[in-house]
Amino acid sequence: MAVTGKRLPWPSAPAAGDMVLVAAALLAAAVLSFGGTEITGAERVVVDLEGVTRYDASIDSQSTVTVIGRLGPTVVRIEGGRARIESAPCRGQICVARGWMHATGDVAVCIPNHVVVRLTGGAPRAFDGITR
Amino acid sequence: MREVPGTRRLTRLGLLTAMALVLFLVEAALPRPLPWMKLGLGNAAVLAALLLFGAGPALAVSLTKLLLGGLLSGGLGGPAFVIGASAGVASVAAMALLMRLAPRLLSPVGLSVAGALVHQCTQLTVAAGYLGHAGLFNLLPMFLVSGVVTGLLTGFATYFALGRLAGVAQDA
Repeated sequence: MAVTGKRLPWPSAPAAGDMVLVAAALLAAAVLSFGGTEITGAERVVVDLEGVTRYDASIDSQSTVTVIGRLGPTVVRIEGGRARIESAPCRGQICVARGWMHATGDVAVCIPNHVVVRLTGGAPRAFDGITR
Repeated sequence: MREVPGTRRLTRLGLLTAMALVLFLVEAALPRPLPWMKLGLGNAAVLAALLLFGAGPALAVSLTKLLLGGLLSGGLGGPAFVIGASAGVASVAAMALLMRLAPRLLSPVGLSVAGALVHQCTQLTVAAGYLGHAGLFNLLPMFLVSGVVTGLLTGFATYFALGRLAGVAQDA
């Protein structure tokens, strides 16, 4: 049966409303990604476990940080102005696939292990690093 | 032989549920360009259920797909399952509400996009709740864009499928 046969009980695609919706969503995405803080190189790397900051270091430092979550160790590598999750105990490995991050606001998240690695701008602090 | 009332409806909903489940499982086995990018083809069957049978049946198809999908893929009860299930329910609710409040505003494609966007936002919110962390919302723009893309693809798939099934729709 042809698509154009009987009148269907819904508007044919694409309707005007569809295009307004798509345009609004794309506009919102554009405004959110460019309208906020301008993209700058990050200054700090913050590692949170269960919502609590466990590690906070300059992104220019050279280090490998390991936090033990509920599944096991998540290893974070910081070097030369960038940071990434190097290995994680979870099944999905989404956080590892996130790869290197360098811009303020970048995040790598491991939901199973409850670990968040985020890059922040922020004023330089009085310490090079904090470990708890 | 006399037809038992409701049998056709039950059969068709069962078929839609089976379709949703098969699409969900096939898709879960496919490699993805990015781990969080998923087409959500199973939702095509959910959307079809919504258009042909209404909100309650669509919710039933969606919940059955989520429960059986969770059982068969082994993820039942895990964080990913909870996040996906809340997002799934929220997106059905949103699409049903849109259909009721503004019946002819959106075509099935628009409904699908709206459902995908609500799905993505709910996912982020629940995931942020899991982590006790709002940093996740930095990913919102990317999630919105992928919601538009996947919503359009599943929306058109549903739209063309239903066009072909118009005869079935008439006496559903």
